[in-house]
Amino acid sequence: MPDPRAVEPFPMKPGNRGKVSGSSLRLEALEKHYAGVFALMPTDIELRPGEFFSLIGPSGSGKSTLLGMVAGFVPPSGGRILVDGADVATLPPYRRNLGMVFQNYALFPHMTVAENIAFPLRMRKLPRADIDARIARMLEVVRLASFADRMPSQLSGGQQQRVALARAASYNPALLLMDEPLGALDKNLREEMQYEIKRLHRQLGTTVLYVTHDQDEAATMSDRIAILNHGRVAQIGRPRELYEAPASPFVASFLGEANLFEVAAVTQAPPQRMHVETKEGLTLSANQHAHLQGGAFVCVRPEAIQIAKTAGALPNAIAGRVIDVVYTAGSLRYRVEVAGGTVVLVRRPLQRQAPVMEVGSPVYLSWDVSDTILVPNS
Amino acid sequence: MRGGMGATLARGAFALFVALTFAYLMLPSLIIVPMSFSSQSYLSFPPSGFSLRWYEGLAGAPAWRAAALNSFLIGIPASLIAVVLGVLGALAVERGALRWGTAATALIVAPMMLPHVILAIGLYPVMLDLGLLRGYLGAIIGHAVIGLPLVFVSVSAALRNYSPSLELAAMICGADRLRSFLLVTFPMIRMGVLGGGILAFATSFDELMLSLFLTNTGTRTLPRLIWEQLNDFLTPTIAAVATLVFAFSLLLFASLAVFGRAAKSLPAPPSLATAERAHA
Repeated sequence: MPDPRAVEPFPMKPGNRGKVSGSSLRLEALEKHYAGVFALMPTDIELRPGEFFSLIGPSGSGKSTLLGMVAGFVPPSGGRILVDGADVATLPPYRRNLGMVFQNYALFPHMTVAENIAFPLRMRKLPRADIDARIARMLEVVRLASFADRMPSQLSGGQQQRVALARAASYNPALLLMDEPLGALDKNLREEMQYEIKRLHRQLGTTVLYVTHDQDEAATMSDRIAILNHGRVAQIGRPRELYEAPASPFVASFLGEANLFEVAAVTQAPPQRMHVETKEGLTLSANQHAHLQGGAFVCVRPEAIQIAKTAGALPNAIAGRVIDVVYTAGSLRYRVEVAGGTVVLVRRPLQRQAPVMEVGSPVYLSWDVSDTILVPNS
Repeated sequence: MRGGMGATLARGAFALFVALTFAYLMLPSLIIVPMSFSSQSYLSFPPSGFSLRWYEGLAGAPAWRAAALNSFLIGIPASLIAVVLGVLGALAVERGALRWGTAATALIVAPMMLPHVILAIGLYPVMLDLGLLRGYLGAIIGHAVIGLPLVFVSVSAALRNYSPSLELAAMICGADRLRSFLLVTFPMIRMGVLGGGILAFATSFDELMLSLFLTNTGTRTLPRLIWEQLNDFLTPTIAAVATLVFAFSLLLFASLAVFGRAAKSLPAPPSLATAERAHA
């Protein structure tokens, strides 16, 4: 078997975008329990070569445990971790040929930027000339070419994280793991770094496993997302799939905002429509759906809801009263109380002509039938 | 200026308080220094006359030279053992996620809390059984026991000072455990290791109780010889020895401070100006 730490020939020719394809990662029934308590239920996930894959979920959902097992820091209780088909579950971290970016950067404070990037290359006993070439190339990629001799403490947070990226990618690891890499940065820098990471991903073509608790960040960056909850996968899919067809009330409310209603009864309403009686006493219209039945949920996204002084032409028209309105950047957020005291969240883009509904004013809420989304109760 | 007079007064009072505290800490030790230059043949304060004869006498006394050598022969290996075990213990407790980490800490630190006389009484029959009583090895082991907690505490503090993710990062980069210790962990904790080691050596160098129980006339250390001489002759020779020991201890701690400053100046201090310039 070849040394898994062996480094492929210098792959990053300028302009040769995305020609280095990353490895595939397959988790088979991977699980972790501590003294009988599951941190991660047996889980199957497959990452395609070159894919940007995110794990999101609330704290304690098992995402960090999963990442720890892939990295080799946490011994699995069972299951397999296949990198390009080879099981690495029993290998120590230093034999897995992975790259990793940590939330706190984890740059070696006693080494310069160049020495930090050289570290994994020295561990692989690369020739000095090759190491120097890679350092220069990586510094160019992360746009810190003139910072080679700085100490990490002389850099800003964003710059440190770019050095960490350069260090993790300098040896073309099979897989790049990122553990909340932007968690320590402020909002503006975070968005800038999202583009930086995406650019690096496109440029290097590495497979990325990205952990974050920020749903927006995951949705912006990922090809696919796995949402974890209570140690199990709640749903895997493209960001849009997860948003438009959530598999559970948890997913619906975790990714973006959701108005969730529990279905009490369903009646047929031609043509191809259904009337949904909710537990809250509302009657909503939805498209014909075989699985729409009592016990399930329906979800209406706040931005799908129109708000007007009169009942409009849309099929769902619910009378209510504005109890709160908030201006946020680019949009208005209403809280509207409808029959039975239920509060519905509405978000409207801020348009110059659109009238602002005052608090206390009676309004009608309406939305297209196709925006009444069926959510199975899992 | 508001309350200029009062503020000056308060600052003066504070300076006086600090000076008195230092005097309280240092004077009892410093009194020995003039006593060692006395021309009288008995210990006296204030000293009368000036003479270097007690230092000359020391240089010509084989017993004192032998005791000084013994102090090094016991102190150096004892502090080295304390350093090795203390570093390993601190790594295990701080990084090992041990279920019994707290219990281990209590056990390792116990000799620091325990009166040395109790430790000495306990070690005596053990060393007797092992045939190590009165030899160097017995004293070395005893002194390593009291040095170990000092190294453990200072290295633990050093380990807590930086994130464990540095070691994880080293391993992910391809460094096995030994290399990640040598290239990443050790450079981070070396001041803690050095400081703990110097403390352990200084403690051994000053230690009397264990030496009384575990050494004999062939292996006795400086503090033990001082103690014995105090019982028999109260000459300023004692003061001269004590002054030398005191000066040597000061030298040890001064070296620690110098190393500490050198280590701190290695990674340049983060300055807002450089960070901002870097960002631009």
